[in-house]
Amino acid sequence: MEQSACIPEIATELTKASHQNLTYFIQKVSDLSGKDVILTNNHNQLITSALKDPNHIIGSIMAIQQLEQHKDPSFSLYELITDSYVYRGWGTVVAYDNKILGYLYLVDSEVAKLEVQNQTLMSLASLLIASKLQMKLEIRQEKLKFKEPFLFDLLYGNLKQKDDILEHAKVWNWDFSLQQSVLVFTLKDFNHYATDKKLLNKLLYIVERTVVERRWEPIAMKRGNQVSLILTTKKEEQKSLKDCSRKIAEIVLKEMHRQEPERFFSCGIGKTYNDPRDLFRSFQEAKVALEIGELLDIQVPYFEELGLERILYKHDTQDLKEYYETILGKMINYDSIHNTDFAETLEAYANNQFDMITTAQALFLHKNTLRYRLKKIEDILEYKLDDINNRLNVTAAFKIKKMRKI
Amino acid sequence: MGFCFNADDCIGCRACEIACKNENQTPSGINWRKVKKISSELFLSISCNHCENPECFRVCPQRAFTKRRDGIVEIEQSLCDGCQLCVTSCPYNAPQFDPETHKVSKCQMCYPRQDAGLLPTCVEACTTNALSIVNLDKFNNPDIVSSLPGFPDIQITRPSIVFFPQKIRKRYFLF
Repeated sequence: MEQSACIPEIATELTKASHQNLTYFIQKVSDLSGKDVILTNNHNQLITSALKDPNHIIGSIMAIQQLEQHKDPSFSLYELITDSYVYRGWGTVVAYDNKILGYLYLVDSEVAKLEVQNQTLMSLASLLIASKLQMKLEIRQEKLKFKEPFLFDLLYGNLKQKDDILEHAKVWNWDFSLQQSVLVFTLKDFNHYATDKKLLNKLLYIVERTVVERRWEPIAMKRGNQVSLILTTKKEEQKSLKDCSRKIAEIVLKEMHRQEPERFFSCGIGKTYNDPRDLFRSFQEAKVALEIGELLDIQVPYFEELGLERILYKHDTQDLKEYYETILGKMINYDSIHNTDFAETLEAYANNQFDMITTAQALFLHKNTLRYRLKKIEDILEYKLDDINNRLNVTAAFKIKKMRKI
Repeated sequence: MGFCFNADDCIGCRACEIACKNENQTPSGINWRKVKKISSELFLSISCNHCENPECFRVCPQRAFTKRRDGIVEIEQSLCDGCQLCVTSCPYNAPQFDPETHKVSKCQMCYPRQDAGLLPTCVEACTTNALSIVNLDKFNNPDIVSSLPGFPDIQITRPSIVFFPQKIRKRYFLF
């Protein structure tokens, strides 16, 4: 006698819903069970939820506690403490090939008993969710495999076609159609053979975490002793990309300093470009800014703001030495012969925008003493310090000294 | 990948310079590798150093430069318009302008040879093994230095080259 196999309606509904995204699927589970549903990953971080009360919004899950186990060991009663409410409900593991991928919870105000129907529903739903999560994981792993080579090619100018870059970036949902700039973080005195590689992984993690916390896409790459981060403009962001990158750099450096106070981390920021083909330029600029920033003790150097230093850093050293000698040589000689510190006074005067009052305060000198000293310096140097051209020369000469070119 | 130059072993024979010219058939007046005499006992054999932060690469308006994953900095001749910005920006004078073709060319670390499993021709030709190529990510020797007297400033560009400095000579007298 022929027997017709009948697929239960729940199974049909769930299978159909599994073709949609996870949020839709969880909503379907909620509709079928008549309960609130929460889905977390294997670290108990919220993936998605379907809650009946629109006022209940889960930002994050603070703690999950197992209360009791069901007759069927695959189900347990849990208490979920979220940032806004405390939920109680039955949960089950979402596993694929013995690998835990997440947890599925059916929560309600009355959770004393787990009905057989919901037990079946949860079992079937967890199976379908497991296959969806596994697929996502595999896609992510595939994406990661190609991420670093793509970022390398992007940052070293190996991709010459704009459309190729835009198309390729879509794989990771990156949008390079707007403005972008590059930040480079580095660890000083990096040693390949020490535990510095772990330290660099930590730096990469903190960079990515800082960016994610600000709801930006973490487009970061680790290479040698550097972590490079690409920041792209977001339409809804009010602040300029420049301000955002500075803020992120400051947070990362502060955090690294807090965690590793004995090591020195620095950062440089390149210019902002509209074309992703120019990202390599921003990358190189960030590295130049980083080097100059280290020399001049600028915490977060921005390539655009470096000014005169940008010209000086690549000028011929011998030429710069001669220039320094011409501008300040007489005073340096005088200082060494007479054991005076006029160079220090003039440097402080230049650093304080040639302002007599602030310089006197900075040097703990009386204004008249400073006036006398400056007069003496003018006599030694044989030029006036109130001339704008002479001031520029003096400033440039001290910058050359600071950049260790002398 | 980068060069390793042992200043103590270089005798200034220019075999590397000639081998480079032969291999790459560079026109007269263009030497991708040059041997310079710094002092009576010190020679420096310099080519493009395939810098970590190549300035030529940054300033090129035509985006003609690329950096391979092994670190070799290449120039795409077809994109070069001969503006010579790279020539002036490189502290090592590596990119060289050819007035006949109106293009810039430079050492490409013999990448076709390297891809075929061979050493760069300058390294192979070195009579005293003063020149070699090393993986700078792994190469670690307490005697190496990052610069030598007469070598341009390495501060910004971070060239992919390391040096063994000259050793102090000792004199022994036999009685």
